[in-house]
Amino acid sequence: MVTDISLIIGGPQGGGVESASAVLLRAIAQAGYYTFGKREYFSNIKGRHSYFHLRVRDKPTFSIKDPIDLLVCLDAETMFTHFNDVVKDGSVIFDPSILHTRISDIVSMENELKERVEKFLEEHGYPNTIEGVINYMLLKNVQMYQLPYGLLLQEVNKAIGVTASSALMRYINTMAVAATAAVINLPLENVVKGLENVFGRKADVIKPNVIAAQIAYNYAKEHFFNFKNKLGQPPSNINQRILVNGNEIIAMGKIAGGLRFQTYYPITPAADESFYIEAHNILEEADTLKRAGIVVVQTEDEISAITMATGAALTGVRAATATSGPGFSLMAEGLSWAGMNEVPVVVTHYQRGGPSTGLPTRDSQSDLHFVLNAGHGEFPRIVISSGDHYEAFYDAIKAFNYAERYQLPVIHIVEKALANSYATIPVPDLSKIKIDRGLIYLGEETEKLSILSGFSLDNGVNGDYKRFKFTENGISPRALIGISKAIYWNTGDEHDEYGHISEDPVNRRLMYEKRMKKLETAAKEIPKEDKIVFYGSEDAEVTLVSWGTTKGAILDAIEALHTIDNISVNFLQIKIFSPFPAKEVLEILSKSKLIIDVENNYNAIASGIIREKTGIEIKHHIVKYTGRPMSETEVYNAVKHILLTGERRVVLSHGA
Amino acid sequence: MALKLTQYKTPLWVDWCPGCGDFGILSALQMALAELNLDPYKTVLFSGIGCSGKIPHYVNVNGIHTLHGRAVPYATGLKLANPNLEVIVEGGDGDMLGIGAGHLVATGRRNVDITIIIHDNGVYGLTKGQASPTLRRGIKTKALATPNIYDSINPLVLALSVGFTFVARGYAYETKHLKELIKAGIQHRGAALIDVLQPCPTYNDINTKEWYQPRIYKLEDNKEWDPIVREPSEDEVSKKLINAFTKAMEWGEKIPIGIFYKNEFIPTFEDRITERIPFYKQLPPALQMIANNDNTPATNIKRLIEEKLV
Repeated sequence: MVTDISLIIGGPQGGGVESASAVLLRAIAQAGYYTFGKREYFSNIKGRHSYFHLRVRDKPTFSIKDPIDLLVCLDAETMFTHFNDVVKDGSVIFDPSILHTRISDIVSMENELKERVEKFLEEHGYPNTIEGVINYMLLKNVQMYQLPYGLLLQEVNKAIGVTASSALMRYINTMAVAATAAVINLPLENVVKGLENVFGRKADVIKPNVIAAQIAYNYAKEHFFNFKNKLGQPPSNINQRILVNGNEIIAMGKIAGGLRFQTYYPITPAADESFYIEAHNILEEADTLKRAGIVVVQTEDEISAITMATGAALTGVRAATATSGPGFSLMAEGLSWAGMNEVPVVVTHYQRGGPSTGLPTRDSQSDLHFVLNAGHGEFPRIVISSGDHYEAFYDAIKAFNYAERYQLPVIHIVEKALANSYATIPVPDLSKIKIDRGLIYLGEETEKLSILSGFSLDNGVNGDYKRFKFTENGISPRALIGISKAIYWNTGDEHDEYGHISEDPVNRRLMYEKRMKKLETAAKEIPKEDKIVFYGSEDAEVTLVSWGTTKGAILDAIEALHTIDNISVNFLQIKIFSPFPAKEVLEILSKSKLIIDVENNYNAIASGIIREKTGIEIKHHIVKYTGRPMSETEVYNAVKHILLTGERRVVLSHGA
Repeated sequence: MALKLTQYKTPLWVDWCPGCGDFGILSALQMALAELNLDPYKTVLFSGIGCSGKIPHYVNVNGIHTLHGRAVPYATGLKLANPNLEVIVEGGDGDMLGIGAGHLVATGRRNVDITIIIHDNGVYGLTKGQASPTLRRGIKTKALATPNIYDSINPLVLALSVGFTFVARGYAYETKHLKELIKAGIQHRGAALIDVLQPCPTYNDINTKEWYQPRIYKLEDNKEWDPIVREPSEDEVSKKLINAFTKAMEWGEKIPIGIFYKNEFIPTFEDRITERIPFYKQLPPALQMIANNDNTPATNIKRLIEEKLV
């Protein structure tokens, strides 16, 4: 039996939805399945609706699917918000005490959604209450599972001797998770392991949670029947895996890649990366030299974040910052300076919905033009993007390699949909990675220090060091302040080879060309597989083109199109946007039959860049800009719709 | 081996206006570096934008000429990546107290061990004489169409209130005195700010050399003056701070120069990082090994992986 279950667990922000979902994700992964879960939340600390959309499969997955098989409600708002997401014959877990809640009672719910739901219920002849919703769902043959938290909490109370209702309330989330596990047929022992992982093994915390879980699990087993989409056998022979979110895996990649200096100013959804690094800033090793102590500085603003990281990079340290749209806006001038002075600095850019504050906690792919063009003047930069958690780990390391090898700013562009999504991925293989620190100048009398592993040495002419020496490939040996026996100058002004200001037109041309040439060198040296990834067969009927986290939904939709409809679709994922892999993209798209561009933005930004760089005009677009990532189902339906109607532009909008 | 003063000079032509106060600051700085015998390879001079921004090009140590207002965060990043380096920042009053004032505030709070020298001339010289944050309200320097309508910032009061642990004022034409202040600032453990009154002969026709000369006096000429916090008690600190604030407010007929405040009992940012990373000073980020001899990553992330294993 194939396992593919989709479910939503929702409740008030700050009310434990996140930890409940973490327990469930962990339990699922520990039972041997693959899981993917995206977190949706408001820009709010407590009270507004937040939910996890999870998928359980017997193979790796990086997308959500709708409609869902199971809706787990921690409050009435969850049911009002998601009842139409539940598949015919699906199931809902809810507390019967909310039965008479009216939609107008829910203050946290946005008026637009209230009005839509009220209109829907009115049109279908149901009252604006949970009871009305339930009656509507019963007609769709949805199983309504009543989980009486009040009654069950009394049992928990008897077992653990806690009487304060506020203390008891915290077990509601645990009970919801346990009931969910019982419904989908996940063993209780995995829930216990999940609880231990999330809450730790301290007896006073874990014991009552385990008791609450047991009580709810047993209740669900006795009362909840006919769930249609139960778990199959977990896949056999799977390698060791980790369960991580995007912030964590990028942080891990950066640390493995040699990050030792990270700056940041608090911003959603980037700050959790820096938080993680700060919490893991010391890595002790038997070999003293290999000890890592990562300095993380919370700066006064993002201007300081980029300039401080750039200043640090002058010493040879691998330095980076992480931010999102509003923060990156402040970094533009600093980026231009790093480009002018050829300083290797890495910016991890987590896109969220713009413009301005936009949708600060929601997804978007609308900053591609921005990261490619931020900063005044022309200067070389490398821009790489990641499609999923596994890629992001390696890309975080490559970002440093490119930055140091080509001596320029590198922007690693990702999204909120990666940052706040959890996925089970194979344990990254560090033996596959090489640290490439580029060409440096050490100067006289400096013996080869072991800390210099990873660098290439060029000792040039002693005593006459030129930081910006003109070379064939544009790359000049870099001196590391504090290590190299050299003196040099940097300036934001145009400069001579030493780094002193020069407005001479002949020097200007040579220096301009030297800088820009580095991008040509990078384009020649970077292997094809780091520029584009092509999935499927060349002679497919349809070619989808995209970048970033839409990859998950696209790959899953392609499989569904193949198995359900026998439509063959291939996929061109663009991983690097500067230098743009025009030759590689052209080679694939010139052979394609029907090309559809898929992006989470309004303007189909990447397709515009493809046209600019290759001359190929992509005529069909699937776009989404509601701030919610695309699901497999949406991409599947949109491709079929285009094939059927020839429509040029399909705008998606599913998801609360 | 001690280096000669000339070895701290570059052969470039210094392109400031004749008579500019910046010349005094430049030579005081070069003398200070030479007298402290600082290693040019391990000394880094940062600057922002404007006339003062060019100063690194005239000094033969590593020189990083950065963005308008941002010299301080660049310098802080370098210092924190390798605290063994000597870091000096030069900036104009517009640079430090206008566009970059936020960084100055944060630097005081961090008490990072760097020395900041403000070229304080009351005008934006390189853009032809607009009023800068230190120009007093009601003053009309020659490029202004009407008198300045902004109130001015007192750099010393600002520095004292945000946590700088060394606060001094120099005068560009008292070069030897300024040299000593710069040396004291460099030797101070913690964030040092030296405001240098710097006549701009081209655009500030009010606060000229002739205006300053009779007003300037040295704090240390009063034998009773003791700006140094001698013990970390609250009483001692507030006494020294109050004295410093009071002196810093003095302006007009009499303008004091010298050291206003010095407190080495406040942990530097480097000390605070050491509390988090015990081996930080011996093995700072810049000197850590990140690759093995075969170029594979030297950083062992086993523990990070184990936390996430399923």
